[in-house]
Amino acid sequence: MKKYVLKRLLMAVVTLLVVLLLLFTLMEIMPGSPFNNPELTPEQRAKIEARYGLDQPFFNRYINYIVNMVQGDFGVSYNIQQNMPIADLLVKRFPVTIRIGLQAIVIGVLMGLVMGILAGFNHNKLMDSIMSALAIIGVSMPAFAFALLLAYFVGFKWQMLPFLYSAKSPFLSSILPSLTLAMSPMASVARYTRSEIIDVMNQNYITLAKTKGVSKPALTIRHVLRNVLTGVITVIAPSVVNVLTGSLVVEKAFSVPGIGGLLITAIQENDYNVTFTLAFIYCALYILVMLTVDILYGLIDPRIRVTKGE
Amino acid sequence: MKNLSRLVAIVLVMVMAMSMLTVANAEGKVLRLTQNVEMDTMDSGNTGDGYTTSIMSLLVDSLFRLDANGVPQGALCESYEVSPDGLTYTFKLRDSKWSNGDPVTAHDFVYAWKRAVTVEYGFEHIFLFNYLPIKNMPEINKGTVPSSELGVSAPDDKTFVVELTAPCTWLTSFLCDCAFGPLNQKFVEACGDQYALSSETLLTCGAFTLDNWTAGDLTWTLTKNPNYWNADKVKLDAIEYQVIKDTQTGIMAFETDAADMVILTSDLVDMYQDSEAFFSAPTTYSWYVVPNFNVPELQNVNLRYALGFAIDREALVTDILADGSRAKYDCNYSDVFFNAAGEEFNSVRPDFWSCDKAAAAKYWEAAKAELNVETLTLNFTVEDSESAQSVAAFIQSEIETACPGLTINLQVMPKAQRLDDMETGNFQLALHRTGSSVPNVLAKLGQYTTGQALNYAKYSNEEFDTLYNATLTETNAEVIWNNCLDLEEMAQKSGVAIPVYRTADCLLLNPSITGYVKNLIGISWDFMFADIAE
Repeated sequence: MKKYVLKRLLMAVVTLLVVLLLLFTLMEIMPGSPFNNPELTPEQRAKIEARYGLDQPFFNRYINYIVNMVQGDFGVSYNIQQNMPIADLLVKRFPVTIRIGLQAIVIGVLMGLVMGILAGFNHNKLMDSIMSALAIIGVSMPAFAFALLLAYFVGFKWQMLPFLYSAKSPFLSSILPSLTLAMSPMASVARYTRSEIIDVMNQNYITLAKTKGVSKPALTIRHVLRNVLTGVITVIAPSVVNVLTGSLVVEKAFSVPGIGGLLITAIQENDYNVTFTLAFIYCALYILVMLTVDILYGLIDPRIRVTKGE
Repeated sequence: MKNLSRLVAIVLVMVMAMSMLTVANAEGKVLRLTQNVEMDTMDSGNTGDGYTTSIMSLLVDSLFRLDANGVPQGALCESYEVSPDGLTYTFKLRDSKWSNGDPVTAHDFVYAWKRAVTVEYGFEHIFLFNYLPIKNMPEINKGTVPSSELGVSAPDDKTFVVELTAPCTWLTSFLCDCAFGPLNQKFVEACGDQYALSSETLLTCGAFTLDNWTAGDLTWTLTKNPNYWNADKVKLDAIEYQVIKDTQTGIMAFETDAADMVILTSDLVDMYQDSEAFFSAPTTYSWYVVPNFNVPELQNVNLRYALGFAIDREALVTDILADGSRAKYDCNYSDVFFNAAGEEFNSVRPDFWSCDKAAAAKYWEAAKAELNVETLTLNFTVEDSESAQSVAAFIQSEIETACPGLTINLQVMPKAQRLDDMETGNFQLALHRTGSSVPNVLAKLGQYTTGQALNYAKYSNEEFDTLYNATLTETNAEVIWNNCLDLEEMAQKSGVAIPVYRTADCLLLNPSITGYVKNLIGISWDFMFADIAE
């Protein structure tokens, strides 16, 4: 297992370096500069670019960035938050995104499991139809539409919860954004759980357990849910990355000071350091979550460890 | 069922408890403003964003402040004198203190100005100083003279002197911008790279103070400064700001009385324009079509006239944009230059451009004969924003209808690419936007001189250059005015640019708010003396 994890970590480092190189190349090709005010004289623009090391050759900048990054220095923002160290910017914004993301995961997974279980154990009944319809709505409705509906009805019309995020009341004001973000994982988990339960319930070992007189709760928990949950982890994994990297739509709709919209703004504004850092973090997060899933998967299902020679 | 009821009760109690944790907001007369972007910096030497400039003006006084009539009134400047040749301005400062108790002195201005023009510091806002004829500024830009040699000095703590190389009748208006405000050298240098990144590393001397703020916040509060020299006239106790990027959310905040002001996007203008809270005001931003004079066909003046006379600008702003934008017919895009009689430059001058389809057809026929073509295709470079594309499609239709055989081929691309192409001359026609950051029409007309970086058309006219250069050093205000009129007429008649429209700001503003000032340049919104009617 250790060898496997080490190998995956090494691959992750190489992947990250390649991603950064690709980004550097793309930003190099892109037109414009972070300092593109046409009212600056060419001399002024050149000196400002030199101040931030943008006059250096391509590979020098790439190597410098990697060296500084390893030391925890991601540089400063050029124009989103002028001269603010990126690390400070992220320390400020990441916790908000993480908080809302984790809340969304918890809400989404719990609701999805409940819906999936209700639908699976009531296959072809009214409850199955209702839960399946809700899951389809969750998958198909765009986040902005759901955000708008929640903000309008729950926040504006009924005034039950705030529709603007506030650092003064972070719990209450994060409920609506979390609910919006929870819709996608909820729907995925519900649909997966339902289909897995239906599948597992038709397996021979379930019939055998029933004939051996295993009680219904024991059958459900030990034989059905254990098998179903193994697969749910793979469904949750991509959602975890999605919600932890924030959502432009949700953060914009509820004025959440997170990192969801930061990458797009950074690309539009040619704020190179912010772009590189966020892309690096997104990539690292994705690799980390996938690695964790693989390890968890092995722990839950011993057959996987066996096939990997551990 | 009992358990379920218990669970619901527990959840409700928890929610109520959490809601009670909400910290109380500011009390008294509190104005609640929204904006759709964060503050980019609180360093007054580098504040370029309109919202941030407005906030900064409430925190740091400059020498002057524009009143409701656009006339500069003394702020930190108590009085000033101009030398007979108009080249030396001597400002006497009033007593004022920084938020740490230090007095605001003339040395603070000298330090701030020299710091702002030190290009090695990387302040993009240095461009504002390019417009001022301050002694040694051109040499500092070239790097032949250090920024410490900028033509400003402080003979004593209360006297700030600015030396110019040419008279500048609009100087005091320009100095209302907080970019020309003071900085406390000792404090700024002690903060180093951290300066202005939080309340703790920011020193203010204005009507309000900023507490508990760090860069990147989406909410912050300005609190009245009781020690401000003009505090008696400041009626608001606090101003609360909230960044709301989504317009729909902003409108909900306005309608639930959580905000007093919200910016409208053009698609919502029609819905709200009859509301009592609807507010619309023109900006100094204008869109125009740039013809590239290096394209052989576009060197033909009749072709340029055909393009310009074909566009029905009134129909564009009324039927297509419908957001308060105004038709534009001049080539200076200034709208903030006044003569001694208080007349605005563009309001006293007849325009050459108009919408005249018959004239457009006639010019097109003449162009065809001179170019010896029956049909012609021109590429029209447009950025990929929704409004730019709809305006370009309208212009395309207008030209192709009025000039049969003339095809306009839209080339849509990101703004950065468009600007890049315009700088390198890789375009035929381009839809471009420009704004005015200086109350001087001559500065805008200067973009049509030979070799000027903003002269994307690559227009070159010796007569124009000569008159422009003569006007730069002219001392007689009336002569300057008349020369500018001649330059504008020359620019229009040469078809160096085809003006299209001037944009407008549309918003919902609580009707009980009074006393604010909306400026066209510098501090776009000034809430210093705003009040809220009971």
